[in-house]
Amino acid sequence: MKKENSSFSLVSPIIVLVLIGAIVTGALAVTNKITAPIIAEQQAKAAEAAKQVVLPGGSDFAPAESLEGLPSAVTAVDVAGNGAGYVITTTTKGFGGDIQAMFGIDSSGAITGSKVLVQGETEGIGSKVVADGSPFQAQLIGMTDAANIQATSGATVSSNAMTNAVKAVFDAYVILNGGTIEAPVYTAPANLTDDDVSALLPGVSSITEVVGGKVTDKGTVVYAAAEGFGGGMVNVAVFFDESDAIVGLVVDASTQTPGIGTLATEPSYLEQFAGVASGDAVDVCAGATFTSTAIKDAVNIAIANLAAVKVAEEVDVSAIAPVEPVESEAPADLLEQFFPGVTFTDVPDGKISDQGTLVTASAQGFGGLVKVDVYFDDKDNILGLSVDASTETPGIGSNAAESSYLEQFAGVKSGDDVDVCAGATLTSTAIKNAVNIALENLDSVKAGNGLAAAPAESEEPVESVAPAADDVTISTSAQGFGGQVSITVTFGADGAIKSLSVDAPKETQGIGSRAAESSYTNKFVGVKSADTVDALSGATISSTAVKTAVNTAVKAFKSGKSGSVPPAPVETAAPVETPAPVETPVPVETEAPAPSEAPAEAPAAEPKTITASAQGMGEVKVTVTFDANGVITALSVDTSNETPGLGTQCSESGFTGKFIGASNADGVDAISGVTITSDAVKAAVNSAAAQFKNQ
Amino acid sequence: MKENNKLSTLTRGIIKENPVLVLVLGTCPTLATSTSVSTAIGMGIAATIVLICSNIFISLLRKIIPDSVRIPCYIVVIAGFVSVIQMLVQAFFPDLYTALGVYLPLIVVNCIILGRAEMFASKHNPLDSALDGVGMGLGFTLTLTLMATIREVLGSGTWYGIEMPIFSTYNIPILTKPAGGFFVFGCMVALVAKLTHGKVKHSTTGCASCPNAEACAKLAKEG
Repeated sequence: MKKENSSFSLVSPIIVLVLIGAIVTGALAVTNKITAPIIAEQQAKAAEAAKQVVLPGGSDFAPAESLEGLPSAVTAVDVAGNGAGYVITTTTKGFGGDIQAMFGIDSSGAITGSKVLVQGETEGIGSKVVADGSPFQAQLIGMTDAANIQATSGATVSSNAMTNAVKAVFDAYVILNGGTIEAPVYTAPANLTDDDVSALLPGVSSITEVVGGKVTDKGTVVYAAAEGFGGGMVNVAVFFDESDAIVGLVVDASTQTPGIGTLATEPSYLEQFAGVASGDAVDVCAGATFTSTAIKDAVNIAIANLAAVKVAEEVDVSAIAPVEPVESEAPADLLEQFFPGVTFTDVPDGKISDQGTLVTASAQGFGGLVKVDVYFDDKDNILGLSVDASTETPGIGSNAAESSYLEQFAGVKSGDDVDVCAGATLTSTAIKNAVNIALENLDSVKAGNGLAAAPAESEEPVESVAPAADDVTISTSAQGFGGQVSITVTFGADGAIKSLSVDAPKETQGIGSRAAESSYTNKFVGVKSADTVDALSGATISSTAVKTAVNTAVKAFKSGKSGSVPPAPVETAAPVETPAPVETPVPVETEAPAPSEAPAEAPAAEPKTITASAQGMGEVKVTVTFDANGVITALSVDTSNETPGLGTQCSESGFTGKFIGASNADGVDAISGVTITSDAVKAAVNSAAAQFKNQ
Repeated sequence: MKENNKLSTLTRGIIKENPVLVLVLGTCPTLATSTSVSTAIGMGIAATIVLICSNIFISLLRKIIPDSVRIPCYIVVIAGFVSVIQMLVQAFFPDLYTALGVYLPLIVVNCIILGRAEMFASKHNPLDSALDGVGMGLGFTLTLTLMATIREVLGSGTWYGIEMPIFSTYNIPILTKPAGGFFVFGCMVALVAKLTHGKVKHSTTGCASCPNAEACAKLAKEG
């Protein structure tokens, strides 16, 4: 370029740059002045047009004054000035981040259109749900409630996000029209005590029970619940201090698998929630993914509900109080009702009089022991019963304790004559079993000897049962997890099992050993085959061994044998080789023989193979082989309950191979589009890994 | 400065000095907008308009702008142009504005425009500069469209949003991702290098064989 004198060459760049800057700025200012009003008009028109896409016929849209009280997923509401309806914008969490969508809902509450504004769903999978005009979007038009939304197969997570958005839209519509949404009212976890409150909120002096929580002078307790594993609810009480920071939780995970899901209720896990602003800040608990996710969800619900609970109306304690005394006084009332003016004498496990007898028996229900008082008249006929089902699920198991069900027992000769109560099978079966125990032991109680076979009170009930003359006792064994599991079964004349005792010294303490406890063995009482008894979750191998042994005994019983019989393998030849001559008079067993001595098995040799399952679209079963170090060496997955072509991909080696060499499933990614099944496989593998560690 | 006839000024941007595949300028917007044909064409046209305008302006101002501040000046001019065009399009062609979306303001950082201002417009008269802008813009647009065609048809099974028969069943989704973009980009660079073999000197490696060598060397000298 040209040579100028030094002062000019120093100043000229500055002048030129300033001039160019000034000219460009001026040009921009002028352009902006001309175009700004036009652009504003265009944008308003475009915004209106966008809203008309989802709400045809709407015009003069204006943003709603306040979003207060609306579902948290609703981020914007525009009211059509001509009364056509609302345009509601929502944000929900999809697979690839937040999905922002706009819905039109007309004045009658029906959806008129939907459009996804922002999304990051997987191309070709989740995108099928969020695309304009997709079958998922098309089905929404005309809907007035979210109940019938069909999820798109293979894109469950995206579908759920959209479904939640639609639910929020309907809720918002109701609220905008002056209605109220009945928020689910959460109740306190069963294991929440006042001690928990004073421990977590030190110095608390006043506690007020309100709807959905407790308000105290030192903070707030908010109840929440979320679905855990297998559809069971996990109830949580979240403690907030005065500054609304979380100080702790109380979790009732009694619906979750003992030893697995309950891992997530350990203090070491729950402590992580202290101080977090969201449940999402805490990782899931390995091996207890579903349960810990439920806790996290419940914590989020509690955080969202905190403000509402603080101002919630006080629970009218006086309205509740009278209920409880009635329940607790019921037995006395019945005694008075059935035997007016009769004086009873207390004896072990009951009360006796010359007019009748009261026998108290209990049996394993769903949540614990169900205690039953059975009233007999002087001819030993059942007059009625009263049931304490406080351990059972309120509203479900407790149905079996209603008088309408219990009345059916009047006059029966056996609990088996009454059908189970639909929806409360386990609890009503417990009642039936308890009635049978009461019937069997009526004479014993009358004699003042108490229950012979009360499972709760005797660790080894079998030994105290005096078998009836035609009872047959058979001992056998089967291979468990750590060694031989020996059983002794007493059959009644009709082939039903009267009692079962299990000796499982080689099973893992606290896991497999549960299969030998009366809470499990009592499930066999009254059955004629072990096939009707479920395996014990978390102790599958040990409980399956018990079942196998029981079936061996059943076969032996049917072929007329008694005493010690060999374990199952011999059984294959038995039907042919055992001829009729065994038909000797049935020996009268006066005592349960010692369990047959099984050769002490060496602890299970490596590799160990563990079977576990988890809830996918259906039940997903995995069989995992671990080497001595807990490293997975083989994995097979049964996805027969999953969607063909989608969930079934998880049983293919391309997916299962990813687990080989790992010690748990945490490092394996889910298959995109098959999230639920893959997560189920991962949860099942983690549960198998947890079992391996425990054993 | 070589004297080129007007036609070669116009056409060399298409293959011989293709801004994307030979000069390797504007790789970022190329990869970002070549996932679908519609965005590729929109980006190409918008960039072409800005390129022509800025080339003419820089060429007019080439005598006034001092060497030491020419880069800031170019950037201010280009950014000003983009902003003015953006506002005008938004006001008077709202549909086009919606179609171009975020790519319009992104043109500011498209280095093809700054590159051509530096390499060509600052040394040539406004007419040649305008022709260069048209040629380069055309080269950019065609390259983007071709690349987007490959990526959209093979990756998503559509072309300009129209479903393609066989390809919609058997597609290669990775091509719509950045990794697939680099793959297609690399293949196209290789193809153009093969086509122009002998015309563009590749006998020497280093700065000398680069079409930007002249401008680069000048920059380096001035520090």
